[in-house]
Amino acid sequence: MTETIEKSPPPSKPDTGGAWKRFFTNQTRFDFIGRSRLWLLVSLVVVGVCVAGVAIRGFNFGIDFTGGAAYTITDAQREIDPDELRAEIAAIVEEDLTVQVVEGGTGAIVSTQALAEDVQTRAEIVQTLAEHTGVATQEIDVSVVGPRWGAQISEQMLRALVVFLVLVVGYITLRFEWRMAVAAFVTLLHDIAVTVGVYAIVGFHVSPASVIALLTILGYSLYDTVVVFDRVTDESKAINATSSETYGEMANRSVNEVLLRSLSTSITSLLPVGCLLFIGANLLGADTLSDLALALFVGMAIGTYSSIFVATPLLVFLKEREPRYAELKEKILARRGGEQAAAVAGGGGSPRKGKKSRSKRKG
Amino acid sequence: MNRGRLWLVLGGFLTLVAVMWGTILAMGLRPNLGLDLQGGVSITLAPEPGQEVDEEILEQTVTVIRQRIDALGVAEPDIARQGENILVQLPGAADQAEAEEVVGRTAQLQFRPVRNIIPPDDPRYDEVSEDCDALLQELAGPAVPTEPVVLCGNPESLGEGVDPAEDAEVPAGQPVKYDLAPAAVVGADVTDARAAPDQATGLQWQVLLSLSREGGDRFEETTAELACEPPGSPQRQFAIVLDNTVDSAPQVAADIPCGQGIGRDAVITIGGGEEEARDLALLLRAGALPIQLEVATSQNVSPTLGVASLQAGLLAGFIGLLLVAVYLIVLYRGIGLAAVAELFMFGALVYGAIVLLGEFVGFTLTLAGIAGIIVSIGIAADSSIIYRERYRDEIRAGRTVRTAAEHAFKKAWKTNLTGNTVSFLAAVVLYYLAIGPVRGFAFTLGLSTIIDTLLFGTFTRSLFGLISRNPKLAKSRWMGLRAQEVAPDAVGATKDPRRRAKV
Repeated sequence: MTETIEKSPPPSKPDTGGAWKRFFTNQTRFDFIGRSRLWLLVSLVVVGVCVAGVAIRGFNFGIDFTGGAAYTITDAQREIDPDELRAEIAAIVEEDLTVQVVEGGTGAIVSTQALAEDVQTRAEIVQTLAEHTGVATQEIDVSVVGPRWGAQISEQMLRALVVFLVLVVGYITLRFEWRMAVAAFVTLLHDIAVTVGVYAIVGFHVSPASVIALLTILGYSLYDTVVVFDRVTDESKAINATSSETYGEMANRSVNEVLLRSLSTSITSLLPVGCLLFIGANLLGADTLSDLALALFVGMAIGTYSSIFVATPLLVFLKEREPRYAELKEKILARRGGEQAAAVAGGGGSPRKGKKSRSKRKG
Repeated sequence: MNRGRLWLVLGGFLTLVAVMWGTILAMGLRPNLGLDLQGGVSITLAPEPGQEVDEEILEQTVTVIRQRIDALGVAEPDIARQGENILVQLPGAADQAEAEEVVGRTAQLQFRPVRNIIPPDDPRYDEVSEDCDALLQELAGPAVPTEPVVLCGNPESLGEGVDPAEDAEVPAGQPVKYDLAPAAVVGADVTDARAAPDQATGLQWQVLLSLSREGGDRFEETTAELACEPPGSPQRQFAIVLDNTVDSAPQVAADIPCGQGIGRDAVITIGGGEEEARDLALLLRAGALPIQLEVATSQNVSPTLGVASLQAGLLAGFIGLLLVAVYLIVLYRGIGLAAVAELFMFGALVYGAIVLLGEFVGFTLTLAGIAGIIVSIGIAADSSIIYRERYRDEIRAGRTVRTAAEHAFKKAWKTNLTGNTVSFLAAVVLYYLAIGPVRGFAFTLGLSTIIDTLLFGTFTRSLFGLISRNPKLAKSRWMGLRAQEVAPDAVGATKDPRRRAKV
């Protein structure tokens, strides 16, 4: 019995390396580029669903956009019954009343979208809330937003977004080249569409904090894309007419090499944001934090995905239209066709096969 | 860089951090907390659309609002402009409804006949209320138009409307008090007011007042009564009351006969020149504020909730940092631990910078700002990760530990600069173009980006460089520097085509 156990190879030290080990040592060979048509299809479908979601469901705007008042109650003396509270407030204001009970019944957020500027009505509501919950009136936090504030911030945000996009496209064109700028730009649009779509479909509440988050996500997604492109640019310097790799294969290898970095960065970014989300959700008044964290969480995940599955395939598509890379690709495929008739049938250039054939020739 | 210079950079960096924290600890500085973290009332006022707004008008508006807020007696109020908006911040437990009412009201103009003038040496002077600030606070809101009231004169126009003889007895700094009858005309009755030079003489400036039909009737009625008093008598004065202060109390002109008042078009001749006339006209036109404002947002955060938010933010940041640290160590072993030291330094620098900026530039840390910092933890960790990944690449390409560390730095530095430029761009655009809480977020994000690059070029570089040059550490299997851990099939890696291309 013991003999057989000893004979089996220790699983912890595989010399050739399992998928896990390969991942940790950046030796993965996932075919991201070769299957770009599939990813394109997936992304198109997702974007389509998101656009449809926005068109059909619209957004759940918070009072910052619609105007209205929100009352926050903490440490209520008795458990709050939402229906009862609702009925009492409805006697004062009926329009667009929402009552949300949190913190195990001792906290609540009551918001109304009407009469934001009427001081007396507010005083009445605060009084009712105080009587109902046993909290002193001055301990009830009131937030009031005028009807035009939403339009004002939306306008500012849109302007910020446009200026940012122009600057970024300019910067990437200068720092790298216009094809990368185009690829990064399309990726950004993809990220915006998906994040916004998730908000519409799930019905998350949209506040100025969510909009901040959206802009941050764009920065983040770009940052991710730029890091991948930086690597691709580095590697592309080694490509010349005698190379044994097409541009697409080189890009695919680059993405594989930065895969651990991309995932690590996403994990290290999502950990703090996840904490923010978790803690923010369990605490009243920190809704700025939780709104922000939610959008960031959604957006960062999408940003990581898109830098690999959208930005790079798009870049390869653009680059392989350049005559020198197109010629190179043709040449390499033809060469491989001679060695391995089956490889031609693969069409788009499978890097896994490419790698094999390359090492064969070297060995 | 050789070892000596790396030590120099490291030493220089640590000295900088020590000086920064020495200052903070020696001066006992704490971050400047925003109202959402310490509790208080914050109101954003926006001009109602369709008005002409320029710098001067906005400055004037801020001044008027400041005066009104000062009358509330709140400690350390902050009134600032933010683009065309005006931000009023009242720390502590201020009364939100009252503050909004005081700040937002526009038509606080009343015309009241004077019943009596009480100079400061009159025994009745102190009966009403000791000084004028106390008097204003007692009123806590606009004087009821239908009731008589005692109000102070405008300290800037001391003794106006009083006999020159009486005027001489008024001590400096103590405006006279006016015993006033109920208001005859209020701000809403004023349809227009224009400054113009006196048409007859062309020397003095006047304010031409137009009133509504109803207001004009009342104005006529009142002035007809006042005109029966002998010229020069206080009872012949008609006080213009702005925000509970008698701005001026002009006499009804001597040539107006008793029982026949001034109708809908009155002329106020004032002693001053063009500027005074324009100011008065402006005030009469729009109540006391030069423009119509509306409350865009008004938020009241109780101190308890503020503290809870601050703690939640800090807790989230702390736990997040801890989890990231664990991840880095698991992934990179010893050099992961070095990355944790980098994160720690990052935190110390960001926090220090926020405290110092709060002290010397007046930067306030808000909840959105804390979120910005938490987001930047990811950016800081990424810089460390990129460096380590580049290092592994170089080792796989067959370099020695020392040269790999050096080459990796150069490449990672370039990536860091490119990536951080994009993040910084985002922060700057957000800061300049956005309003409200977004700016606090953008500021800390931008600050963190700069600190990240700074840290990468100094601390990260020298720490990693020195570790890689230490033979003991470089060979230790716990450091995660050796090729055995980084690239198990490193033997084949030397034949990597990239390596060949570089040689």
